[in-house]
Amino acid sequence: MWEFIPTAIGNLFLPLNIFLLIAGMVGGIIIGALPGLTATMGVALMVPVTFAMDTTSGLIMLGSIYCGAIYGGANAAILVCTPGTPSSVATTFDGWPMCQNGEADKALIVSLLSSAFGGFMGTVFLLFLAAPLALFAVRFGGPETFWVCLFGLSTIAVMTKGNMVKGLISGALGLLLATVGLDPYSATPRFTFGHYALISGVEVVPAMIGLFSFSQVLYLIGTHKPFIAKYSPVPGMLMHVVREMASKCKVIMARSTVIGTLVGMLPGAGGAIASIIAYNETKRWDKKPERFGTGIIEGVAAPETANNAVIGGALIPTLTLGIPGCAVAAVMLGALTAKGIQPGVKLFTVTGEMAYTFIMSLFAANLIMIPVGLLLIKIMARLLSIRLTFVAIGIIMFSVIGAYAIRNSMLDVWIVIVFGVIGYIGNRVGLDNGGMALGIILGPMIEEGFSRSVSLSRAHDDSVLQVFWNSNIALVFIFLTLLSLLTPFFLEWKRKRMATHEPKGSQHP
Amino acid sequence: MRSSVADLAAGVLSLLFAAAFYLQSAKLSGVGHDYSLGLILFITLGGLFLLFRGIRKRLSGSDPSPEDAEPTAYGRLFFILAATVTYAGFISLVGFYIASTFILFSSAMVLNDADWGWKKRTLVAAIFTTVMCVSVWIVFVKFLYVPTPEGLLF
Repeated sequence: MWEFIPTAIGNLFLPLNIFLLIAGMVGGIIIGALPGLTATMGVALMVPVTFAMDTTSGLIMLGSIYCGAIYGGANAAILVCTPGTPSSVATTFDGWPMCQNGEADKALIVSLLSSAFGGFMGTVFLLFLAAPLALFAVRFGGPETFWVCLFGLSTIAVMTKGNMVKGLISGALGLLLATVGLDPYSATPRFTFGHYALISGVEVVPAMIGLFSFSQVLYLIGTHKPFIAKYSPVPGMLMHVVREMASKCKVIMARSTVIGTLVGMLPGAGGAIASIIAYNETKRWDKKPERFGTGIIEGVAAPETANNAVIGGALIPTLTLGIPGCAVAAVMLGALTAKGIQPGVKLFTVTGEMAYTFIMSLFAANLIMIPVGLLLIKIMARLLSIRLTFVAIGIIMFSVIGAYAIRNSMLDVWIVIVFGVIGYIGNRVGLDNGGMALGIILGPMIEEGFSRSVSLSRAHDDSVLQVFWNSNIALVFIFLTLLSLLTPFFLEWKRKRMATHEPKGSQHP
Repeated sequence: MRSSVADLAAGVLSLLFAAAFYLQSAKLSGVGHDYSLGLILFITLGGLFLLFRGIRKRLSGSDPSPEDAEPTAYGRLFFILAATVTYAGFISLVGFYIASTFILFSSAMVLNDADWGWKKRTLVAAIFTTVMCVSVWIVFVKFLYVPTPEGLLF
């Protein structure tokens, strides 16, 4: 490995590669910030362009777009409560309240710095721990995937503290809505309600745009506010945020990096799951979990660190085993194989210079993200000085384009509208849109894991239940799921116990 | 919204969802059937729980009205909802740009500041509509090669 590093670093300083890094980053951030245009779409759009370049330069640009797009999603999540990419769903939980509290620039800087940190550390894992981690990832079969996803879903219990029943119902509704379309087990249409177009199912991105973006438009238009939020940039905010993050977010970012990398390695899982798990874990371990959702930097740093750490994690099985950890990694794998390069040991030996230049470029992309992001933040924050009516109507137009672009289908535009109404009404009656989104994202993986486990039990003549707790990994995740579900009860018990022991004179009025 | 009303509404909505999906699940079989039936059952039980909790709160009177209830401008809300539904319907007929021009202009005219005079509102709405449509065409179609929806006529 080490023999390739000096050459790899040298390659980064070629003028073309520097240009591609910066251009990819700018393009990625813009694509990520536009609702509906995902990182996968951005990378896929640019794959044909890379065919005209040498493989190393092409990979540098794709990697930079990937990093930029995942971070870019946070901008829309914070400024208009619209996750630019599914990975930014959890960023809305505290990013949007921060924006409404007049702290948009602070939230944007936190998301930028934590994204850069998460991306950088995820790449460290990719560089040093690729082989052992890849071998760990392949041990995840149907039951293990099922439990990981169920653990992810159990985070609803913590997210909706005080209203757990509604949170769990929201999650179940999301899971049920995710079953619309073809039954993966028997290939028969289900829950299409007489509309043949629904056979292709509910796409995650339009559903997210509806739940978070269109429902937010309905809410904002229903208020009499002239602007989305007050925007008052404070001089020296960058250094202030750096100091605050250094004192409050060190452990959070380290933990979220590990979560992001591990979840990123699992095929099919991705930034959305990692960021929600990271948010939940941060909330769970916090001494005052009730602060989350009110607009605190920890609630932005955790998901943003995790979703960018996913990049390094997703590339581990992609480059070492040829198993893409997520859709973007799959597109990059396609670009590699189109050039005649096979993932595996040879990638790091025969074509080691290219592989390590790519890994080094991910480090560089995460560093470049900071100045480029700071520049774009100033431009994007101007959105808050536009009148609410124009922003709301503009969001509707972008939502239509973004939703349509996923499958070139008007069905997705209708999905946006329907989910927008569901999200708006759900909000009004106390159902949890985050939980519903989590159900929609995790639904297909949970069902697949469930179906595979049942098939496995039938093939081995085992009892169905036995398959679900046959491996140590599954047992660990069963334990974590139970812990997650019991956390709110434990916290409530602890709160009541402290209240009982507190002397009466010290109680607040 | 009072929490009892929210509970009752959430319960009714959950039960309606569960019923709609249950009616559709009759033809299913195998694991897919068991999986979705499990979810429907869970939602039904949750819905019933919320319904009873709402009724109990209502009967016990332990349900103060919220203090910081923000008034909702239902007229504006229903207008934007109707405009969006019309927009999606229009796109399928006349294509993206004509539908967008119509909806952007009319929404900007109706929803904008009532204190602005007609001339100012018309001018601002026209500029906004033109800028949005042209920039979308340049950025999405020409630069990013992202297709916009086409209608039956255009």
